[in-house]
Amino acid sequence: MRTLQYLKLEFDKTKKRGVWPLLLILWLFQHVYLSYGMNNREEELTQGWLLLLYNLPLINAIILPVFYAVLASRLIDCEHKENTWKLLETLQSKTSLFLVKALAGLCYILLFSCMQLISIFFIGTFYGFGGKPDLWAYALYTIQTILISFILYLIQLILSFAFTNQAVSLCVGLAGGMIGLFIMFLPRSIFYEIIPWGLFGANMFVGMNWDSVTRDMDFYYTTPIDGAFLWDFIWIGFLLFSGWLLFQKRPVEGFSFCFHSTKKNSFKSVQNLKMPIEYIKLKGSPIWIAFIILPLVSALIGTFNYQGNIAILDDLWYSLWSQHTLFLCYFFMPALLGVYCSYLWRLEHTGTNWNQLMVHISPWKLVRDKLYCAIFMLGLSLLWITVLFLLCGKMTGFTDSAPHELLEWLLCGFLGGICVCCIQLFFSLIIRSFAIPIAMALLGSIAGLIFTSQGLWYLLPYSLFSVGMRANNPFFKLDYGVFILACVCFCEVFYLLSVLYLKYTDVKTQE
Amino acid sequence: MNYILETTNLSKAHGSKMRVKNLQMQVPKGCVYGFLGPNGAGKTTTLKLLLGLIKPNSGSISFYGQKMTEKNRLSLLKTTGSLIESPSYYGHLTGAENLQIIAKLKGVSAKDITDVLHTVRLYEQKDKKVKHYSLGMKQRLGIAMALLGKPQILILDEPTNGLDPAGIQEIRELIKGLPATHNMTVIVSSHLLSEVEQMADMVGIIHHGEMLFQGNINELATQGSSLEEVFLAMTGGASEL
Repeated sequence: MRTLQYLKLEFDKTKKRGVWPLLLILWLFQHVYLSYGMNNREEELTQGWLLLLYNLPLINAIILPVFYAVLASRLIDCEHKENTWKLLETLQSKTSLFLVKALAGLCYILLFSCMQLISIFFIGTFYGFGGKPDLWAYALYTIQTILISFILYLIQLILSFAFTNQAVSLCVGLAGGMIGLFIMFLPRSIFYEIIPWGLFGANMFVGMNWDSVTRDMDFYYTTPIDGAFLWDFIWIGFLLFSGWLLFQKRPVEGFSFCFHSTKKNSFKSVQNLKMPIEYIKLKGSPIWIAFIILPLVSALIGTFNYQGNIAILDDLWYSLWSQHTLFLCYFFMPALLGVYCSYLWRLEHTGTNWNQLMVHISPWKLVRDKLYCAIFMLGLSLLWITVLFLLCGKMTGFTDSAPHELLEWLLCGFLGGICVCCIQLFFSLIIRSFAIPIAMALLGSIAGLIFTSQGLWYLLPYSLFSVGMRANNPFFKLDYGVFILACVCFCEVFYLLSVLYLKYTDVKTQE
Repeated sequence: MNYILETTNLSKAHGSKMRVKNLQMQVPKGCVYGFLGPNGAGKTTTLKLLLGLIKPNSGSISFYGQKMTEKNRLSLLKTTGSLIESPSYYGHLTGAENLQIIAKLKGVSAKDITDVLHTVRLYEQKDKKVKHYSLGMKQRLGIAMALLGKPQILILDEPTNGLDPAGIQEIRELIKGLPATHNMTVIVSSHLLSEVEQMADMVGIIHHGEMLFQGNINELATQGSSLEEVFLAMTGGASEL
């Protein structure tokens, strides 16, 4: 009874915190994405039920890690922000606090899985799939999804709780999601299971034969990787235990993930710092590590994948480029830029900082300074992507020089990336939650993918970035007039919106 | 008479409720203006209006006889220092770095930072991260930020929150001396009558968003037998304090 009451409290706490709308949007989104995938080819419809079982883990692997990172952050961050841990500990045992937080997440997971089943059966009936669905297969799929979701949620719960700075958990969620997605394209191995994000792939039990000449697809049942099911439970057990342990041991103010040492310059006289203000604020905030790790992972697995498929990928540098940038630019860089933008505004959303800031700086200058920070980070990561690309190319043994279009791709990617920064800065300014804008970035990126396939890439900033980088197709002929016009419009509009928001709304502080 | 700061019919609604109603605040130059009222009376709302942090529904604000508009807001506020609600700070930075940020925003030199750090007696603690500060130290940092750059108008919202008795005494003396030593005008809000009594020359009493009394503190005392009684009578009794 007690537990139920506590559980209800958790749901009360997350009222109006955007969890329900997010859940609904995510569901609708997945529904649209899956329906969109049905392009009415005869053989697809006859095998529709199998096709869905093949597609679902893939889309889950892209969306769910970030979604559960956001969910966990929403459930935990309210306690960090309002500083309620100390109070809670006097009212509720630490064990019960952890269990209730975990249970609350499980409830959302169960709900989402039910919603997913509804949309599966709706799609099946609507498009007239052949035959009846294999109930055992869908039952198995649902159980697997619930287990993996719970694993991912627990990881994020632990990270969100341990590090007050929510950027840590979201960056891990993003990096994990990317690894999980990449792994599905590698030969099946133990990596599928020891990386929790790879479990979606490990548990898959439908395979596909694809004839590259006739472009025919054929789906068949197979077995999950040996012991995949067992690994699900090993992970859950391990995470429940470590989460419980962490809730017992964590110091009240949380672990800090900060390299800013204050020892060095003690008792020197105070100097005027030459650094721009925004960079002083970023001192000791190691978010840039994520900007190193994500492209690195993408490059490593991309190169590996390229070398494994040299027979099909015969465009040398060009093939390697799309291997390096495909997933990174389509899904993960926009979200990572989103994390950075959220962090930039979080600094001001904290405490009463707006009170001091808005008295001394004009909104124009403030938004511009924040934008410069984000653009600087974007530039650095593009540089890093280039270095990795050239290095991997040399190591693969390409003898001819790198493609001369490289600079063009990077410049276009840079322009498109600035658009992403502008829109994300706007979202993170008006939405005070750290995590929600990041979920929006991911959903925006997937929407961008759909728009691009319809030739409408200029309608979303996220697709401007990936198309600018030529992430899917290095031979894509970009219409520069439209591209630049779209970039300028998006930047202007969202920059202006941010400034107007600051100018004409009342300052809200956390007090 | 010329006022350094003056509001005309200043009103601010929050939903259907008026937080501040037709406020006529008049602050003469070179005084300590005590802004007094029970919790939730509209003190902080008024101070935020003065700084343009929130926009009034009607009425206007003038600094140095000049009406504040969206255009001249920042240039007028350049000569103010403020501490609203509780201190603003970046917890992962040191006290000195926090002041360096404010100094850059205000365009003030490094020497001033050292001065204000000494003034609020935080110099020894300047290289500690602010999140490790005690409540009182944070409050001192907030006051230091407000004092930085020797503003002409200082706006302090309950500045002695979280300070120990010695600290309260010290800040009180500091505020009292500012008009004489630095030619400043200080507006200080409080819900403690005794505090205002000890440092203010002028007093404004606000209740339910309306100004009940404004004038010299000695004038107020003559209205009743003691200040305490006058205040309680005006704001409707002890139950609301």
